[in-house]
Amino acid sequence: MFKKEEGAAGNETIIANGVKVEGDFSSPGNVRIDGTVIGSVKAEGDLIVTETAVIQADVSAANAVVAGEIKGDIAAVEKLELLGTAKIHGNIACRTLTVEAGAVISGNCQVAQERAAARERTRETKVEAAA
Amino acid sequence: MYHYIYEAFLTDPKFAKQLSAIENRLTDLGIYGSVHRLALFKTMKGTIQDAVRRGAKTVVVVGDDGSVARAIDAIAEFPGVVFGIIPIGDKNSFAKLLGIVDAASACDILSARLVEELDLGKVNKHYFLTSLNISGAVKAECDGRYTVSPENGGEICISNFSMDPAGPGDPRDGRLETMVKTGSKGFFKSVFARARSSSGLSVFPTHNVVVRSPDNAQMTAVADGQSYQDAEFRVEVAPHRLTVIVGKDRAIA
Repeated sequence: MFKKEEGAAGNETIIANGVKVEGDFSSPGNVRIDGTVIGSVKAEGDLIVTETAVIQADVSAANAVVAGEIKGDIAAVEKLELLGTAKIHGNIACRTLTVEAGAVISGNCQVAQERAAARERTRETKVEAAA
Repeated sequence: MYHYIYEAFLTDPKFAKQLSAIENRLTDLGIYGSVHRLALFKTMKGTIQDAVRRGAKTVVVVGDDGSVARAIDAIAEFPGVVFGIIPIGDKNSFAKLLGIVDAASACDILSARLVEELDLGKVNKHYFLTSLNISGAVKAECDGRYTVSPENGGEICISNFSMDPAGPGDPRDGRLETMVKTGSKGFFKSVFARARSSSGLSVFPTHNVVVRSPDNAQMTAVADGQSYQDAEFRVEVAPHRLTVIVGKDRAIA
């Protein structure tokens, strides 16, 4: 087998500061954005948006940590973490949301804990059955 | 039957002793075969085409990185033909990448015949094993879906098989890694020694990339040390295009 050192790129996409991406960008792995993106962003892995990043796009990822600016909707399948420097001008949808003091959100926020909702539904069904 | 293609510079008497040792070893191993010597009007491409037409199933290049690069460009047109390398000369980084350290061990590696199928990159009509650097490029269109451009100029490198163990580029993943660096020239030579996330290096796993000159001017692309000039470069991955004999110590770079 070929040998590959630890830490080699694999599926990871990096958009560095000073680089502009325009169009429908998608990645099967993790994505780190330090630069500018215009269009749409879809990461099947985790997404990191750093402080220098400027995104004018709808964004989706498995998990996301945002420290930069996003003008567009953001959807995280699992966890979304907004750091103090984050500015979101769009709607948010995720399962778990963490917001640090200083983060700016301008839009609707939908946090749906499917397990909790399912548990609630189960409880309601049991109560109805007992009644 | 093995077909051995001797690079033209091997006519230099200083290689006579080394060639003799190689031929003796190949004979001992029972894998000596037909020999083709390159010359002024006998090109690598023509020689390989001729050998394959005569039924060659294994083509071995005896030479340096330049020989290997030209041979790969030619042999990629014949999928299924097995490619081998006996490194001689000053620059043999491609052979080392494939775990072939020197000429003596190359004979034993050929005999052991451990074969790998590797992806190649293709730029316009030419194939490459390692990477392609395009200078003067300002925008790359990736997979027909999005464009990447350095905002203040930079370099574009498309990697299939990274020479650096820490660099992106796995020749068996069916992808090319498109890298964009903003800033200083010559960056790619030492980039992977540094942390990529803060270095200004962007990395995009892609299948095909189109790089066009903004004003239809000629750009220069260098792939595996071979230079090409054009106003547009269409780069794509050719999965499993190269069947190559490798050594045990091969490393994905």
